[in-house]
Amino acid sequence: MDEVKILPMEEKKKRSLNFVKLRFYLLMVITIILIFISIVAPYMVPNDPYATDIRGRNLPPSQEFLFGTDSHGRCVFSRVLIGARTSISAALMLVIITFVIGTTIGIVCGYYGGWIDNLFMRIADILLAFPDIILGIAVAGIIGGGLFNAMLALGLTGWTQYARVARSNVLTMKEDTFIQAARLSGNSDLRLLFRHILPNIIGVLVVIATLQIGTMMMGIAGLSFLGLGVQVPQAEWGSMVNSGRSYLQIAPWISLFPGLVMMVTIIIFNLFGDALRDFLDPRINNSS
Amino acid sequence: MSQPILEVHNIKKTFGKGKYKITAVDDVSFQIMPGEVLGLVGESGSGKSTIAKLITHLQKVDEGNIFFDGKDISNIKGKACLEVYKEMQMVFQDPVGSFNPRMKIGEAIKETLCHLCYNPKAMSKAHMKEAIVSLLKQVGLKSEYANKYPHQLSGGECQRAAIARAIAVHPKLLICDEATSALDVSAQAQIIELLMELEKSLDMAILFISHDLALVSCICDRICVLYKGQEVESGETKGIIEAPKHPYTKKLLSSVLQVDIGE
Ligand SMILES: Nc1ncnc2c1ncn2[C@@H]1O[C@H](COP(=O)(O)OP(=O)(O)O)[C@@H](O)[C@H]1O
Ligand SMILES: [Mg+2]
Repeated sequence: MDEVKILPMEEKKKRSLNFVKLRFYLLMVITIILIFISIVAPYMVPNDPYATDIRGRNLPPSQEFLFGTDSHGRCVFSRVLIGARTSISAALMLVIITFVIGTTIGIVCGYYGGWIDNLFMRIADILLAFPDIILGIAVAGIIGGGLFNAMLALGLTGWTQYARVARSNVLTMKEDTFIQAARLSGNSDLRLLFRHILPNIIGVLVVIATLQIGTMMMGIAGLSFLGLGVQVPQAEWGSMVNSGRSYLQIAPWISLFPGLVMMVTIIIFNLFGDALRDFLDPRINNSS
Repeated sequence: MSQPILEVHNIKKTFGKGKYKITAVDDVSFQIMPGEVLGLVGESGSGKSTIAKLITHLQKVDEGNIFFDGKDISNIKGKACLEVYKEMQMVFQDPVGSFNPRMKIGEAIKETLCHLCYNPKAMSKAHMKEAIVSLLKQVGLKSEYANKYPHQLSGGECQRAAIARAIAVHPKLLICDEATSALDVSAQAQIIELLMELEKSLDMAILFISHDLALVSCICDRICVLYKGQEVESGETKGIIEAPKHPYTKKLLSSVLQVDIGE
């Protein structure tokens, strides 16, 4: 703060404050629009996303088919729209559930230590010894295909990230002076954990969570490709990208558009995570 | 004479195991009378903060007993701690760090008030606000500081706020662990002055922990000198300053003199 800066302190603060807030609200609106679209997608599709047409296969983008048609003659644009629901809601749900479970386990382990800590951290170690996708394939293989089972398979390791980060943050934070002071103020363990420690570590966890949305989308897509996730006629971005692989040379739009939309979605969620982190940090954004 | 407010009997605390075992506090005993200011002096690492944490139950004693207001508090748990915190509070070395960075000063003080002083349900919002403002006033801070975050305050202001939070309960004993060490000289003097003022007006005892013998000898009735976790000398301030018995105290004193001459 004391380096060479042309702007005076107050003005600089005001500007960065506005920027942080503005960026956050903007990205929040975009994210909400995205989620809204994914919810109302079935009522917005221009063509039936499941109607096949042998003569209209691999058509390039046109007025009628904005993103062209796929190898079964289905409208790619309609399928991307309807697939948004599966991809976004499945990934979001998975992330929210693993976030809550993982964070709770992590802060309890970090705060209380002892056998609880040992138990969960050893389980996490075992789960992390396998590559994510291999474990997912194994689990989905055992309990069968389907979107729900794919989510279960991915969630099995998903919580460990939050648990580890939350735990290590709690471990360092619980020695902080303000935690000791809060204890002397008569706070209970529960309040200490959720009112004092959690708000101070949630920023990191939220950033992990938003990055996980992308990872989970791809995880679901990967399992779908192997026939262990979303089952065939149902539209889903990842499986659509994969279904277009054999036609990349003659009909690149089949893979290109779902891939592009997925990429943009992941980027938006990542940016939103960044903005949220800055917004939550009173050292960057002080709203007094 | 009346009963001591705090009595520490042969407390001991070790950290680590085997080769890495450190005896941070080794068989220390002292007592504080109501309204008295006791200085606890020693170099860095001599176990001063550990003693403060043992008394406030932030850490558990290995051996020995601590009596507060006649009751043995060495092994209390849960609710019983709250009862102790209603009469014993602490001010820490790091002023800004002793507040949750995401909580406004007012909220932090309100926590103490809600948990230890009043029944929050029986108290109106306006009344609570009034109580917070009057506490801030007592330590020389304006009411608008209630709506600031700790990082928006200077070290001295933050330490005032920490004192406001501590005296919210009207403690019988206030522990100040290096409460002025992180501050610049003028802020240090102001905080000391404030503490001495409050000590009289609230009639509380103070355990003043510091590495600075000169400072401690200015404000304390009695002094206890700590060296490597052991109590090497204790007694009336005057006696210790004029006729130190232990070589370590002499060393501390001579370093004070050297600094004085150097200035
Ligand atoms: N939680 C802890 N774990 C291990 N060692 C500790 C811990 N707290 C303090 N110590 C050790 O105990 C000794 C006394 O520390 P402390 O009470 O902080 O000293 P002071 O406050 O006088 O500087 C030091 O050697 C320190 O390394
Ligand atoms: Mg210390």
